[in-house]
Amino acid sequence: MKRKKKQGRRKEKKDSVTIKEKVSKLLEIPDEVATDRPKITTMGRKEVFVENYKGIIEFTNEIVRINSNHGVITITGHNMKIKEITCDDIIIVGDIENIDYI
Amino acid sequence: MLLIRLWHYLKGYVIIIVTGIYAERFINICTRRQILLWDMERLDQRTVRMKMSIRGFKASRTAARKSRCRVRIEAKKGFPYLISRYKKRKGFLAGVVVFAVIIYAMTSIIWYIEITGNNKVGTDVLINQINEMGIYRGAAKRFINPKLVADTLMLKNSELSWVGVEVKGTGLYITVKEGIEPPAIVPYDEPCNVVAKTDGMIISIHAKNGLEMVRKGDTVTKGQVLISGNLESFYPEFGEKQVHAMGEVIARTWYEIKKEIPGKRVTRVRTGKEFNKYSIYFLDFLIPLPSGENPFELFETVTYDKTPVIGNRFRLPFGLTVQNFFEVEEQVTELSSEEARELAQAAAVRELNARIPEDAEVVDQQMQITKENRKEYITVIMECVEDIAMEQEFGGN
Repeated sequence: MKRKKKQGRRKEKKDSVTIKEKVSKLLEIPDEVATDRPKITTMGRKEVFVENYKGIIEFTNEIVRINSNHGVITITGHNMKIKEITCDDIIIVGDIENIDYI
Repeated sequence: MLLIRLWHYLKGYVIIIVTGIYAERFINICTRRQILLWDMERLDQRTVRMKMSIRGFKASRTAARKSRCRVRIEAKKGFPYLISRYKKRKGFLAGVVVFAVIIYAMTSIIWYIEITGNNKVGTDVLINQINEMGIYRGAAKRFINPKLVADTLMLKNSELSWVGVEVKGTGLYITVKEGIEPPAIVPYDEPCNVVAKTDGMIISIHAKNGLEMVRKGDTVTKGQVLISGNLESFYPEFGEKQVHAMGEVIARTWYEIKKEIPGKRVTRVRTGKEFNKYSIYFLDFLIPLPSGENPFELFETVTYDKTPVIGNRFRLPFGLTVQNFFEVEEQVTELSSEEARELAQAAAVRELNARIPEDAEVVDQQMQITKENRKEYITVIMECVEDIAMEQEFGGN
């Protein structure tokens, strides 16, 4: 029950501009620090760097699905590996073909 | 990246294989618990391989239970594991320590001493002098004060004009420069005579200073004044003047020796029995090994080293010294008269040559054999040409 409640609140957050975001905009704090929006950086076709993620849903050599507050990020490719994973960021290396929000 | 890898190595990590349908769940729980995972790869549908720190591995137990995964360690890597492995190998560790100690000890002593640049001063003289200072092969390097050694050598040897002492690696290099000695100053203000060194017959006399007292063809005896430094004036009222007499007096001299011709010869012959005494040497130190006492009364000894040699040239600085004792006995042999004469002559000539001064030139040699009281005697006379001038102060003998 509790969990459901939480999720409900987050969904509201997505649509409207929260107070937190307003404050951070006022103080000119970078977005990725203040908000929970994921930041995805790719370096060439070999490396993808995802910040502000929630957890991984699936991890194989061909597909990595990462859950975030703004939907599931799906990265497809070949020979993919997770080079490093911490609670804040995840680095995926391999022959990347596609990055999607599905 | 290298730094991170090094950090992981120092802290130690494990390579684990996670088996289970919910491997992703395991990863999520781990990351949420601040456990760092890296180099993760999917092996097949059910297994994932990853690396994890040691601390993280302990904390991931509950994560494995929650996600119903089986975690298996494939390999343990890093420094802590390396240490724990070597903790068991005590002998190896001791060997490492002993090796380090030996290397340190061996490199802190002098292994060889090299002296260059000396022509007039003998190397053995210099070596003796530095030995007195406590410097020898095997001496501790840090007790050597190069400046002190150089100063001491300079003070002890007036022939040296510069000494450089350098400890380079395990060698002691002494470089020496010898000065040119100043020519001897003739003390003109010290009056003296020139007298004869030995008996002889004058061939030529040439006075550089003073008055010639003898002439060519005169025979002189030892100590006779040849060139006088006392100049008497023709007129006695002017008094006399004393000078430093100098000159060259070449004379014919004779040296004679008389020896008995022996009828027998005593030779020492080895009996064939021998006895060895062993000792170990290291650099210049000798450690005798227990090998008993020498049992012979009359013996000769031969000493030689048995050194391990690497290749053709490199001799190790330690080895075995063998002292070989050979028993000898005296054998008396009768000599024929010819043999005896030859032997006696050779011995006499050898003895005479030692007596004749180096600058003398031998011009003639005579030999005479006489008989007295049933014994034969050989007389060898050598005729030489040499400078017999010798300066002598007035009044002295």
